Amino acid sequence: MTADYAELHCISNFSFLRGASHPEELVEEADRLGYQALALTDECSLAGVVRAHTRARSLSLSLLIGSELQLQDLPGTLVLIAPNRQSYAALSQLITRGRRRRDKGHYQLWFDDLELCRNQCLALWRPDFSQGDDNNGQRLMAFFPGLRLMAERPLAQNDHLRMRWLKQLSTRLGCPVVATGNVLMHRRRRKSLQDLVTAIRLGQPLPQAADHLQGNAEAYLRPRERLERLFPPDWIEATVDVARQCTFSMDELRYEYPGELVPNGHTPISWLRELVAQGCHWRFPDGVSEAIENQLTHELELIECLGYEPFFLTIYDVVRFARERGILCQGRGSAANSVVCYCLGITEVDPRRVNLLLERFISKERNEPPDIDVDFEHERREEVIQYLYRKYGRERAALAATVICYRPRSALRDAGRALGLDSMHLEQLVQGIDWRDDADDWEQQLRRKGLLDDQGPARHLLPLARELIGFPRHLSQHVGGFIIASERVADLVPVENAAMADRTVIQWDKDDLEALGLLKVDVLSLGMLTAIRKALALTGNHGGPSSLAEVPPECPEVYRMLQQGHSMGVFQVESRAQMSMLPRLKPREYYDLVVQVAIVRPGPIQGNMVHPYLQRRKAPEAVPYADDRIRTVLEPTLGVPIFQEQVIRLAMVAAGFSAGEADQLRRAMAAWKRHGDLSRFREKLIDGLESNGYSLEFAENLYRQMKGFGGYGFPESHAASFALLVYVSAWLKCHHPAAFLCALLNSQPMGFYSPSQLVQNARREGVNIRPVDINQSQEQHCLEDDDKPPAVRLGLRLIDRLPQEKARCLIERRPGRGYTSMTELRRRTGLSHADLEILAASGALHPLTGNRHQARWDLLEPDHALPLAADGAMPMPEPRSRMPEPDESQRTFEDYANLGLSLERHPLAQLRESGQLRHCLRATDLETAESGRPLAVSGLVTGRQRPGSAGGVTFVTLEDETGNINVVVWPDTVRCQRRPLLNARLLQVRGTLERHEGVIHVIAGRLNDLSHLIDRLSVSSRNFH
Amino acid sequence: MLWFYLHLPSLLLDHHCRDSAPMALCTGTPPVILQPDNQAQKMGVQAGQSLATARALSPDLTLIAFNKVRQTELLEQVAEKLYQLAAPLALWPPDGLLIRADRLCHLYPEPGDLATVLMQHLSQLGLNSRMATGTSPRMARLLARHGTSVCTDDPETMHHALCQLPVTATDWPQKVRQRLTRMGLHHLKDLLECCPAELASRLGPELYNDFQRMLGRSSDPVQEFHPQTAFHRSLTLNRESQNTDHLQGPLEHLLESLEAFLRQRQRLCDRLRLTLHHPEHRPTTLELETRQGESRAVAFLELALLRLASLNLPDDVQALSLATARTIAIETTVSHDLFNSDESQQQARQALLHRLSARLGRDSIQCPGRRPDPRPERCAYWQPAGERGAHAAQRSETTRPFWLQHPPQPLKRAPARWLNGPERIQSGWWDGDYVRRDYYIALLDNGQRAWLFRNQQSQWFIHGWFG
Repeated sequence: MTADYAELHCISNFSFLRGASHPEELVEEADRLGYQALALTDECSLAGVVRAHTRARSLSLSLLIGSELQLQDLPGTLVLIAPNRQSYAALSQLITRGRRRRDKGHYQLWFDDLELCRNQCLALWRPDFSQGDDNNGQRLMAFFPGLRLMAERPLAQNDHLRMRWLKQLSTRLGCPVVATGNVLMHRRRRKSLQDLVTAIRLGQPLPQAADHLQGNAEAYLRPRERLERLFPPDWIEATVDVARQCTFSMDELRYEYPGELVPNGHTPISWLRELVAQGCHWRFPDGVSEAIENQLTHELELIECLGYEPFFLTIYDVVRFARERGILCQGRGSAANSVVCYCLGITEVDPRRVNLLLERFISKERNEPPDIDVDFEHERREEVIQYLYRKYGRERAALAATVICYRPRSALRDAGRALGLDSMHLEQLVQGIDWRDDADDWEQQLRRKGLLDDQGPARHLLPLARELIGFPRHLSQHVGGFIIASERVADLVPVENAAMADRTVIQWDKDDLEALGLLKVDVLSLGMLTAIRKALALTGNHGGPSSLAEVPPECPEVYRMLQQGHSMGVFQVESRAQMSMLPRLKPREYYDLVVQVAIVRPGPIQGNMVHPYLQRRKAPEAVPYADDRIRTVLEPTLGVPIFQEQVIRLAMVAAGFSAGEADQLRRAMAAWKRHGDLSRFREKLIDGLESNGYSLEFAENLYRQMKGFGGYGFPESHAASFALLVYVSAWLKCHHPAAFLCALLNSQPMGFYSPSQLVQNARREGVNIRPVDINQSQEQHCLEDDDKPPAVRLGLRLIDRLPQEKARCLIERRPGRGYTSMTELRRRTGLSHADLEILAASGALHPLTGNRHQARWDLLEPDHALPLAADGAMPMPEPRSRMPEPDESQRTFEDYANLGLSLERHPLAQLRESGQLRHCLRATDLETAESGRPLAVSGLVTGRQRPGSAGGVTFVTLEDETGNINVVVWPDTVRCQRRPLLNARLLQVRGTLERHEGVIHVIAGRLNDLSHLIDRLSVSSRNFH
Repeated sequence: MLWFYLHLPSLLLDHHCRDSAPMALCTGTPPVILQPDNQAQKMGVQAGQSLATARALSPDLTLIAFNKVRQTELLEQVAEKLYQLAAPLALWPPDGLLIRADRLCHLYPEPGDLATVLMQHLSQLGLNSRMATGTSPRMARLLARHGTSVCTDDPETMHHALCQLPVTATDWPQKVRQRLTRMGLHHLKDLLECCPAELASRLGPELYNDFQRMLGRSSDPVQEFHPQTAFHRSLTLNRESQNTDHLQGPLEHLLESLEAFLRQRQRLCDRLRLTLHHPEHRPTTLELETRQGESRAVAFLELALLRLASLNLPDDVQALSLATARTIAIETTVSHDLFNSDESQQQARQALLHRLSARLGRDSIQCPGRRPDPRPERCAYWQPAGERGAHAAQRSETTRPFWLQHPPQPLKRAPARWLNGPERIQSGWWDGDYVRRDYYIALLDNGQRAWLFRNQQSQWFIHGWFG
């Protein structure tokens, strides 16, 4: 019988570029080999422990948590293992201390730091095999009386010498020796990958790095029989002793919520009830319906039962802070299913207007923390984050991490470099792959192109790169997931520095937190909220609504505008796909917007739900329903499942799933593309449907629809939240286009379109826009009231290269009558020559000098130190040379180069006038053109897209002086005319017009690159996003 | 004065040119296209494109990494070839040659004649070129580079052509050119219309002076190119002889003239070819090499005599000829300290090596190097003496035998005693020479300490002997 063994020193790939196996693999392998326990001891890190723990839950192996440390002033290697909860906290604190001292990815610890773990952690030490060992061993024993010496058998030449040394040292120190494996991989065959990551870490090709590679493949989880042959029995026995002393399990970690949010005299639940009651009056001033009353009671009971009150209170507190500061915020995602969230002001979707499904948000069966994501204005989210740090302190609040893993591209690059492939060749390989082509796997592409030799190191590239994909590479910060602890976060999980200054992240990502049932608060940012607040501030000053609540609901004009596809700048529905859906779907009310938001998604498109839905909208009364149960679920969307909630509900009402099971089904569908295991649910679903009297055909059909739907659908609650913003932004665009444009421009960068596109669109819709002017402009874009309707004056912020503080200084020191001369401007502001040149380039100096050319010439005039006149204004000495005036095309060119947009005539209008675009129709001409007729159009290329759901079709957006033209390029055309398609900035397209339900496309035949006509005009295009 | 400028826009590409596939130069990290050839251009490849875009446009594009040194070498080669046709000339790296045309008017009365001759010559070499004349070097250069093929001796025409040039065609820094165009000064003639004093005060004296040089209004010295001709000289002996002693005198004579030749050109020779011509037999050729280059006749003589001493001549020698196979410029940057302390030792060692390799042949002197490879047979290798290889430190704490058996010998009898082991070595998967062996140190029954290993097939081998 083989002896029991516990591996006490094992490193996963979370010791980045050292370990060569995933934590899960190590756990599985150790269990397979019949180990008693496995200690995961990544170097100064606990980043991989949750994954290991999750995997070990269902195995008989016990997982020990520890960490390997290299101290600055202690030779050898130290491994600390946490036997209980307190020592785990101490270890986590120690790691935090080491990590916080250094930049991201490094750590630094000294012997004295071990004080934190003194007498708490179990310490294992591999000595240095030098004279200092006795002394160092004694120092360690002072901190850790139970110190053990780690013996290893790497099968190196000096194994026996070292074992003898250890034996003697152990006698002298009086501490036992334990057998360890110094494991870097779960199986021997990972050796080549281990060599590879080592070479990547060292930044050297393998042959050069050979000295630092493991001499053999012994650093794997060895079978117990083999270990028995390598170590004396008492050393093996000692490992089990250590494991026996460890009782700690990750399941003991409990999240303790901040307590200060509950005032004295209240319990968390009583305070939550109180707040909800207050919110109820605010949200439902006319009283609460019975249904809502019932749901409220139910929700509060659930929350109390699951103990989530403090979580709701924490988020309520953040939202309350934002409201007080006037920062717009709104919950998104499944939280909108909760009436409690609505009453607390976390979400905005009125439960009376949509169908809520609480199970999507919170369920007893799932026993998983609810997910509440709150969007804040993107420019002011930092205020909210700083509030959290201020309120809870850096000790108690930290951001969740995102584990950045190797992806095919980076894996190929790094693996290739380590294999010593020529960098140019490698770059060609990587760049030669069409990563967007889902149907054509990158490996097949490489093989087919014959770009890889079967000889030499290159033949290892594919197998190794494939294994490397998914390996964690480093920890980055999550977009906004905060974890807030009642005492110290570092008691729970180590905290380390992020790359961004003053940011700290924990070592776990959101999946880890979810797996442990820990709650996080998502503080996300949304550009549209910024734009809406800014627009409301402007409309408030001009007699319009000043808050969201004052925006009149369900205005027919707004829907009329949207039905025509005029949605540039409007939240969510401004993309090209959405824009062409609007005239087909013709939204007439709020719920149509909810559908509109959700329907243009890969899920519904690939599930073939769009067309049936649009058909049924024409005759809603003729929609067939299998029975009333189905009707209640699918009636709002005319019998076509569009939202995730409907899938859950269908499974519940028609197939007899419980709420929790149905949610699991949803999750399985979301993960289906990755894991492909739906069969368990398939049987249950189809059986359930059949037993409820539905035909097999119906059941199969439903299943297929659900599968196609995959994870790419929106939850209704989420779409409903977004649809609110769609309506508000569309209302603003419809009734206050100038204010809306101004706000959008002031919130850049955001949205789908460039400022130039927004400005042109607004001008076509009749908004008056005035140029940047040194004497008229403010820093921000603003409205000028001297006209009715108000005009937009472009602000100095449009001048990209002018630093913000310079712009401010210019405005602060501007005299009431404005600057009158260059000299005055220079003297008053003290702006540097470079800044003045930037101003000259932008055309803002027009009132002083007449044109850009002259402004620049005047600027170069050496500044003679003339005495300053009393009012600061100096008569300019008349320069003798007059520069030639820029013509229209030069002005346009400079506008684009310096401001990114131009108020001159559109370049296309200029070209058309000069007769260079003969026979080309304009965007507006297309509206009256005959469908199917051959024609030619031309325009600036502002977008190229090849969506995954479009089967290789490339969509090109052209812009001319009258609007945008949508061009569809079929794959064959792409293949023969790659060059103009990829290169052209000004493109001429000959093709045929296609008109369908108010949507106009030009199907490209011949493409012609006319870029030479616009020379160096800088036009930005969104390519293949 | 009349200048003639020859612009070679695609020197490197022309050099690599094959008709079959489109080609482009690339440079930088990440690499971008620097210059596509005509074929590639037709397919839409442009300078500045990423390799991905270029490949998308032209899937069988051949990429060549730009190499500045190579380009300069090529330019020098062209200059050497044209030297006989059109001297004096000057190099204008990276891609131009300047010819003083007025000095050639006796050969080519019209500038067009010179152009024709050069054009013929260059097309034979397979080089694309553009040419122009100018009253100043810079004028000729700008016109040629911009593709204005002015070929005349009429100053008015040349001046007019220059004025029509856009300022972007000049060599002025990008910033200056941009500044000028941004003030609406698009052509050189626009600059002429500005008040010169204002121009100088606004744009700085350098630019102004450069402009004056361009117009030929101030002088612009040019450094002439002198071709680097190789040394080649022969000497017929007064008396045919097989005795090498008799060769010493004539050899000395030849070597002295070589020394003078090299000194004049500030060069050293590191490869010299000495040919002994026989009346009946094929000539005997000796290659003489020095490591760092040499110019002194004495030093060459010593090497030559050493080689001659070890030579059996097939016949009498009737003539000697001496040719440099390669010369190198003297490094002027190397400074010596007053006492030349380390240097002299180093030199002595070098000299010894030269002498030995002269005597025994270049490949006969080798020194050992060490690679950081876990596989014992790959650890050490031989390299030519004097070359710096990787001198990696020994892996720590491992004992390795002094003699390595190559190839390893099968172990015949079980050893008397095992001293150490196993040491497992498992490495080298990346270069196709994967090994997995367990090494042991053992005492054989004859008392020898041996390094043994067992391979994956459990066969035993002796791989080395300990002293």
